[in-house]
Amino acid sequence: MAEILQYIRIDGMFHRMNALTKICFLMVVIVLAILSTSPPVLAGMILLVFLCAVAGRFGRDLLAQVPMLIFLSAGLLLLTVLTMQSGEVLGYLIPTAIPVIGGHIAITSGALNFAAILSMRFFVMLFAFQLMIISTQPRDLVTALQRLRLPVDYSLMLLIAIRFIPSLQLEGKRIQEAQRARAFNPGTGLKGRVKELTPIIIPLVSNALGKANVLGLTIDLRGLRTMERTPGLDRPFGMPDYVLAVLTVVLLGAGVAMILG
Amino acid sequence: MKSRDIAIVGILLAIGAILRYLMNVVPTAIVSNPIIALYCLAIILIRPNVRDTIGIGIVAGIISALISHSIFPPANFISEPLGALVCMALYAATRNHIPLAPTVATFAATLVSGFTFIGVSIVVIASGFISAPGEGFTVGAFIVAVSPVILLTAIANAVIAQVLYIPSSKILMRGAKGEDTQVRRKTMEDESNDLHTPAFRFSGFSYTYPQGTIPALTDVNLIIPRGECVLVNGTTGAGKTTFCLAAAGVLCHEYEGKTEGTLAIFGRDVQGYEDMGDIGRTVGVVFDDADAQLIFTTVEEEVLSGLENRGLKSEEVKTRLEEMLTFTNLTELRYREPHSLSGGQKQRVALAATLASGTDCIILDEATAELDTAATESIIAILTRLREAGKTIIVVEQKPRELAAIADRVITIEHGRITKDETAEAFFATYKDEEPASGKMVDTTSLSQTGEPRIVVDTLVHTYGTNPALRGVSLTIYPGELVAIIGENGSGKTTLVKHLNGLLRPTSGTITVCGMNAAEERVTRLAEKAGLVFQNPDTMLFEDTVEKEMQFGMRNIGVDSITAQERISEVLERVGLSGRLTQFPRAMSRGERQRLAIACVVAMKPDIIILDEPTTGLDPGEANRIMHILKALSEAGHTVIMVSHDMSIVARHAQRIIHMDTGTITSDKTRTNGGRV
Repeated sequence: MAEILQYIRIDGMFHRMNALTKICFLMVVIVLAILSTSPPVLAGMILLVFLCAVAGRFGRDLLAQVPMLIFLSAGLLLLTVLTMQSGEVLGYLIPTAIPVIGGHIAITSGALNFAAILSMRFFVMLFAFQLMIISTQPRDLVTALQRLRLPVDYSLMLLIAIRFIPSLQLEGKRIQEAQRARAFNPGTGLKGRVKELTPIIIPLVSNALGKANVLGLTIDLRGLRTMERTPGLDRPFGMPDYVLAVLTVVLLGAGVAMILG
Repeated sequence: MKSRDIAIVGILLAIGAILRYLMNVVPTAIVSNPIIALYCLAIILIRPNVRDTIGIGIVAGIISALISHSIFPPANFISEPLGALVCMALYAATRNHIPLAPTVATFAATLVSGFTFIGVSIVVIASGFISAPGEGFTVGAFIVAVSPVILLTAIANAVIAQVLYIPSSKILMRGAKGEDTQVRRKTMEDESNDLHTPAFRFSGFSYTYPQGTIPALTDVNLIIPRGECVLVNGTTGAGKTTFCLAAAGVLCHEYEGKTEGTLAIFGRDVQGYEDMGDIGRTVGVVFDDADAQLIFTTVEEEVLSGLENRGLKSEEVKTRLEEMLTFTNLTELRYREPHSLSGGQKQRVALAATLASGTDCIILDEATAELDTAATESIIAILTRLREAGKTIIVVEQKPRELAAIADRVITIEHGRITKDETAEAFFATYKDEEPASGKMVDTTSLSQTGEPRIVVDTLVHTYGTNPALRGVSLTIYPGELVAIIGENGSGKTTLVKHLNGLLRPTSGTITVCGMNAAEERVTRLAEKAGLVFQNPDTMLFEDTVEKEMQFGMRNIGVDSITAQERISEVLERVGLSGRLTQFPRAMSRGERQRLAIACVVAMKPDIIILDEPTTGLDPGEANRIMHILKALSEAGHTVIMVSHDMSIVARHAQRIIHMDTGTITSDKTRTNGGRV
């Protein structure tokens, strides 16, 4: 998870765009992903977002998420097969060749289709979100959200949440190591995760809250809530913005056509 | 809403996002959302008004939706604000009547959020916007199928919120309160335009924390002229930080508590400033926790944040950014992420962001406490230039000697009172640095060793990705040795000691610990032989009493309860914490928490005790106390290994000093009249 939700400095076209353009693109992609029930359409959207990332010179950073997404999809597929019986029976999870228990748990076309839709939808949404986060400095994001009428206090909450995810991940790892060094062995699997909760999450939350005082004072002393941002520092709209705007309009048109059709 | 409340919500939502992301491995269309538990906790802790509650819900909804693989993620935009409102209302209604109010509020909020999510999803499915999950989909069957998930999530979230509420509320009690109930009144004339007025004028100033009965500052009468560099000296808990918070106007504007007397900052009554943002135009503060002061995701952005919210012109912002990066030697780091920086680098960024605002005064509260020698020197070099530029500087520092060259004046605080106020010249004329231990240091390899070694490391190599951290380290350590491993940040000290208890495995080479192959042995088994105390004691403390905290490690290695009780009494006596069995660990001072962390490990009776920077952030008295405990442990036969950057501590106490640089041991010397030789 170390790679998600973080800005990465790259000299690419997405990095040169105004945050508002990227937010509009993100919204359209997310809406289309939710509305679409066609695996080919969703696959096309994954490809489109990935190509955008390649054009922005951070395709590799997006690919870093793929192993986790594939793991998730595999689990989703298995569970859907186990719980959903819909459409044509394509085969059995326990092959018929196995005596006694063979021929049970049918794999249906409906289950495969539904699992594929959910997985690909998540791929599209996470990729599109990454596209924006990797290429947008948080202070530009805050300014853009303010333009969209999100009050500065809530923009700051979002900014702090995004900023502290990697720090808290590192902190969580340190705490885990400290408890392991005390011979703490919660075991593996779900039971282990539950047992692990108290010795890890309590210090994590307590330490994080310990930072809140200083963080709050820093916000005040730097005048972040007044946000009298210097004019002229906003990223101006340029050619990359217009290109993405055209793409957004095309996608929107395709979406409307899809709904009406 | 106070800024601290915004920080609390942001941080808790970050933790919720991490947990939520981890929950994605649960492969269902509707999954448990721990973000609800965390935003409910935030609401319970800060008690926002209706508008802010909805705001918190919207932000939680954005985060939930963006990392969700649920059937219709945008439903979070509706379900989370509703859940937040229910939590706020129910907690307000029950908090004075039932002890489990956090549980009830979170449980109800999760149910409302969950069923709202389902309701919205059903509406969009029924209206044909998204596909139904399967051909046989019916609303009734869908609700029946997902209800158990929501119920289980509600139970889990209620437990999480309740479990976290108790330590969280205790932690927050240590600091400021959310609401401001003090009656503010301006008591002095505004003389801010008169450049001859002092930077600070304290007149009979006293302050008592909301939870305290004894004043943390008593009758402070002090004038600090503009352009002066003042060193604030005193033991841990003397009131130095409270003094800094007072000077920065924080006590009067952000904290509850009782204030007496007056304070003028640059000729203006502290109450005459609108808020902390207004004071922030004149006074900048750098705290000891560098990480908490870095809000943005690159160094450049961080420094810009101090510049671009001041209404400056665009060109001026750009010029001052470059000046500031050059001034603080950060030009090469300008695009780095804060979490990837070393402690010294983070502190320089925090300093640069503060200086960027162009304030006339800067206050540093133990800003170099956790830094190594080189990093401390770089901060002091910056302060020297600031002093030459005529800035007023107030520095709290545990190691006064390092500031001898730049301080004009030294004030000493004891029990909240200023007991000495003298020129730096007079202070340092009588100030004595502690003498290093006597004895000659000789090459360890030239000494003949007897007995069975406890640790044998042979050509150990460790690489992080492609970066080598250890390059063929070899060493042997015997029982009863008190070994210090020193070196600058990144020299490989911590990487080396983490191999001794299996937290890291070698890329190549061998490690034998008490006869076990540490490269393959389980961490839990190694922990019985080699205990590790981390730099920050708060990394391991999680129980609500000292007794339970100590029992945790012993229970993990199967020590029976009667033996455990005996050991607890014995070890607490040894570390000077007798009679503190029922105390909340996190309410103890930093030095006491460090001693408790050591006690927790010592109670497990490991042959080897490893400590990462055990004296960091402690005053000299507390640091010496820790070192005497370690010395006694080594004399009792334990092998004690400490990683440290504090050369004066090492010179006074260590029997053997191993110096590391870029992943190799550059010297290994032993004191000839030490305990072992």
